[in-house]
Amino acid sequence: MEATVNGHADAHDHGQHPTGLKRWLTTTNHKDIGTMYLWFSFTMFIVGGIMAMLIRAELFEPGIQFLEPERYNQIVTLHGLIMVFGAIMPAFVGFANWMIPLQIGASDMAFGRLNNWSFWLLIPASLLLVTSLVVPGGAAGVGWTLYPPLSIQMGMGMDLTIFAVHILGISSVLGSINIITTILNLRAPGMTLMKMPMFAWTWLITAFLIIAVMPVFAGAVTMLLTDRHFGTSFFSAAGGGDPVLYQHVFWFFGHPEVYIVILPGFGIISQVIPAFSRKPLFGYTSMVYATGSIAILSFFVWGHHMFTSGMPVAGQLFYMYATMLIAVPTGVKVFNWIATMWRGALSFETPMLFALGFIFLFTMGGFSGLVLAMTPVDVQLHNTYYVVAHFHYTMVAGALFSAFAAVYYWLPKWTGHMYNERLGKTHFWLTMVFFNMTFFVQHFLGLAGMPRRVPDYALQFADFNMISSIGAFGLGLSQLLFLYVVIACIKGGPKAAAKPWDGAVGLEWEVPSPAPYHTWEIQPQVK
Amino acid sequence: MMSDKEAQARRNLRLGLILGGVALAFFFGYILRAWLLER
Repeated sequence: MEATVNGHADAHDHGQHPTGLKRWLTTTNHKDIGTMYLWFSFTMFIVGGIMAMLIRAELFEPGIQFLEPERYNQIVTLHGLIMVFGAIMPAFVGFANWMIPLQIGASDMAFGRLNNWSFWLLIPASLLLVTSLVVPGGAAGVGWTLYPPLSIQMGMGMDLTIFAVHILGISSVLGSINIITTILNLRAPGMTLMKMPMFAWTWLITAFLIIAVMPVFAGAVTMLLTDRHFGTSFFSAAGGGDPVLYQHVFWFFGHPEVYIVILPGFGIISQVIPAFSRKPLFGYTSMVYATGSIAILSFFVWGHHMFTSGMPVAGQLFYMYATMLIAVPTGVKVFNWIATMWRGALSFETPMLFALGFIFLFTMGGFSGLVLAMTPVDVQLHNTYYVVAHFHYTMVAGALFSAFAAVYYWLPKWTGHMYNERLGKTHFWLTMVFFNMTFFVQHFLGLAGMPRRVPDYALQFADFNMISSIGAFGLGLSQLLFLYVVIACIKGGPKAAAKPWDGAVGLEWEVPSPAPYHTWEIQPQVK
Repeated sequence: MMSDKEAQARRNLRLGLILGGVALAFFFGYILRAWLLER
């Protein structure tokens, strides 16, 4: 892809934007909003991470240490909700805000004010979630799935959680409308859909997924709310309702949500691997179709979360085979990433290390997903630590590793400085080792029958739990190094070239580093 | 005569409203479905 760039257009900064607090409160600039999303995401990552430390400290040895079971379940619930809706999703929206306009040659997002609103909605939502810990009765202690009947019976912490979910849902849907409109309406001349970078493609598909399923989740929690306070009985068996209906509606949202979290990560990896292999992405077209196939299939597999809720054998078979089918387009992606590296001129800077770590660990998470897809096996492993290990291999090793790859890959473009490569690699290896120490042993715990969401356990699980807890503390502390590397890079460091990675391609590398406040006011021509 | 910028803003608004309408239809649609069909 070649681009004709107007030199005046790419380095344009009138210097007329507000400064100080007003800049951040009123900004409609996609780079400012992207930066706010990323810092918010990291803050919530720390908050959710502290909760993870509390969980692992409680599980360090058998017996109740310092968290009563009710409080333990509240922490587990908030950890899940905060990491999914407060940390991972905003991180990818932050990357989208920063990079999609730069990648497609748009001067900004389509709806600047809506973009500002989408971000600032996150603050009250996260405050509602966190402060629910201190209201009478404590936070929702029902798991991130918010299953009735427990969620109908809980105290006011549940109401705060429902309200937070509504606000987070509105924020996500507005952000998605913005992303779809930007990509479909504001691409530079010559930037056809099939020339778009994979990151923009995966986000386009993800945004459609969000618009289709977030309102469903909002609808489900609205029905919970009316069951709690307005006398309806959607899910209350006492009034003739059906708690299993909630499970169906929740997982119709919940399974596509897994792909909402991971598809933008696929896009990032699809850009990092070619850049450090110095080869074009292998099978670009098949990557696009594989992403679309995964998104479509994600609507037909929700029942695999409910094998133990009771369903006809035909239903079990359908959901089992449909789930296994997702391995096909996912396999296409893994094959294409490996084929891209084949006979490439590989180098192993930090973004590439995280991308390789992603492929290795996400594939392991995919395999344990296939194990859980088998109905008879799932019935045995349901609600055990095997499931916890599986989804952390997809969520942490998938979403978090790809997010780290993205930060290291684009940090020079954002800050104008190169980060400390030695410290970046140290961060990768510490994260890689401690991640596996934390979660690999949980497979064994699950296979041996240790249940999740219980703060105490039998003596035979003690050794693996101690290893997992030590790994978790190491994993948490390693992220302080990441914070240091990022802050040091913002403050200074060697000057970054417009294109610091010699194998990188795309319009974002045509503008100087750091990217000027205004870019592409005159759209580039893509040939 | 509408400028290119205004025409673009209108196209953006139209698409945004369509997508927002779809989101609202999913939200109310699922509640209505559960209410009317009781399942």
